[in-house]
Amino acid sequence: MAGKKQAKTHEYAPPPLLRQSVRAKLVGTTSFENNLSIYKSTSLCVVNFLFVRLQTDVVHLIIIFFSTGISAPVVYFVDYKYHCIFLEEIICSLTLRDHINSIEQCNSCADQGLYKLAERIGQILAKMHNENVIHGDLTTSNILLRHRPEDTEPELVLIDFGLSYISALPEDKGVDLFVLEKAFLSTHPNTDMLFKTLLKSYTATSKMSAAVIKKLDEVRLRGRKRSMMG
Amino acid sequence: MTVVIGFEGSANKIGVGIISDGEVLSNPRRTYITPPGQGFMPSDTARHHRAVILTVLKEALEQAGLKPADIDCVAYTKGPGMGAPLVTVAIVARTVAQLWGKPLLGVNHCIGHIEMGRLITKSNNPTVLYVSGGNTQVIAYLERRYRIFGETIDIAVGNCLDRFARVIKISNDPSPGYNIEQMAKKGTRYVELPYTVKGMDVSFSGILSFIEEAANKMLSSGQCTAEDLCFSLQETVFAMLVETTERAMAHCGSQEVLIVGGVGCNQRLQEMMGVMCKERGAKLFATDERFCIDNGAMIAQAGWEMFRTGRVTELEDSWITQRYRTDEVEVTWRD
Repeated sequence: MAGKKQAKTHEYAPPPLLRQSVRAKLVGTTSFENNLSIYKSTSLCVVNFLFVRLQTDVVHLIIIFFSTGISAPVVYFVDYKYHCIFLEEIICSLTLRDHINSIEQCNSCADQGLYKLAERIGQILAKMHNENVIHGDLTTSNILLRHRPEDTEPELVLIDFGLSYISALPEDKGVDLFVLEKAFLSTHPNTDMLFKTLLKSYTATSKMSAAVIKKLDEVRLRGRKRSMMG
Repeated sequence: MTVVIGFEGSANKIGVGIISDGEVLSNPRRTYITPPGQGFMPSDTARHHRAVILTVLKEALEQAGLKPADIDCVAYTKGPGMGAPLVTVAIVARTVAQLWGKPLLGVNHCIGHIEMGRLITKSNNPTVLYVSGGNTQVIAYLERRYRIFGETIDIAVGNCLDRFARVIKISNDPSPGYNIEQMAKKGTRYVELPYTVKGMDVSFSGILSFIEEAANKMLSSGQCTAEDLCFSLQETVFAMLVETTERAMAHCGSQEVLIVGGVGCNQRLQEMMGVMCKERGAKLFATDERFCIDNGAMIAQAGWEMFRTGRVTELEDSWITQRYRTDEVEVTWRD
């Protein structure tokens, strides 16, 4: 049904673009009672060999998340014909990036809350890795904080699974953390302690933390070779 | 009016450029070209630079119509780059600075590319894709540093292209990348290659190993042509670059992209980046080979920005370094 609506764009105003991630377009629609967004694969400008497997994988991973108590958008419906996934829109939320920036702007605010948040993120990532899910694009933009009136503290919701896959290798998990570390430190300068807190709680929750952290250290060393000639 | 002369020679190009308040007065350059199948070795490259640098310097002054007395500051590439060529250029810069009695200034090569790109394209605050034979970085400016959001975790994209060119003996004249680009236009069949993106980081060594292993077998069995391989390699590595650039833009909320570095003058890369930008309603800025490829003016321009904020390098600090990350430099000339 929804697919047909997409096709007859001349009859309906196109839904507003909420967010454009690299491998998908997120548009909002009001055609259902619930708030939802459509995760639609974009075809990019390249030979289109990459993006075929995207939709089924995203759904599969989200199902794993729900079975382990990690928050992610609810999947309502998958339209294979039109390459659309209908997802819950995470309302009353802001990105971790905006949250950190707003806290950093008012220096007077106690940042104890941030450290607690970092601990919780570490736990969630450890849980995710315990299920052998690799997010692939962990940044502070891809972690949402949902503030519902009934919650005492914000709920953390993972989004954007365009690069996600299943793997049990410590190497892949280490790289996953390395990607986050780099995104974290380049986006939020002077937050080294915050990331250390995150890693500490990750280590406490992860089932194979020793191997993963060892790999993380290895990957960091690899990174140091990068600065060469131009 | 502030006039800065810039000396660049971190790889196989040697260039001297003169900038006067945003105007390029001269920018001559020479390239050390090796036979097909061969890369450029540091010692041979340095020998080439030593042989031509004074001629290039003379050209730069003549074309600009300036005398040494008109120069306010002598900028040179401090790094990153190959040791021997860097030393050669630094010696000449040091010598002329003392002869002319002018202050010296060591410049980060990557910052030179970024500042030259910003000057030429007039882009305000772009996400920068810096792609060359030695570097592959996705950079954005934040709080007084050019911060590296994504980069290669092994070899640079240009290095991958150059070494592929050596495998199938593509000419290095004028550059292997240019010849691959021309051949790729005639490619028709897409050969699937590994595609490695890790968040905002990329990896090219696996692709190179794969194609080094497969290329000559596939060519001799007639499975594909050299043109098909050029096409497939370009499509794959450029798709990776566009993808990671877009990811950094989405993360930073940026609406501008600037492509700099030697690989940045590849028209196909610019075209693919343009399509991505159009889809996002973003703006693409790129320059041509005069300013994309290593040149002296870019060092002069970054030096000009630094010099204007009162930075100079004392003689005893005028060393070079092969490793010098973009985010090590404090950007004193931007808000």
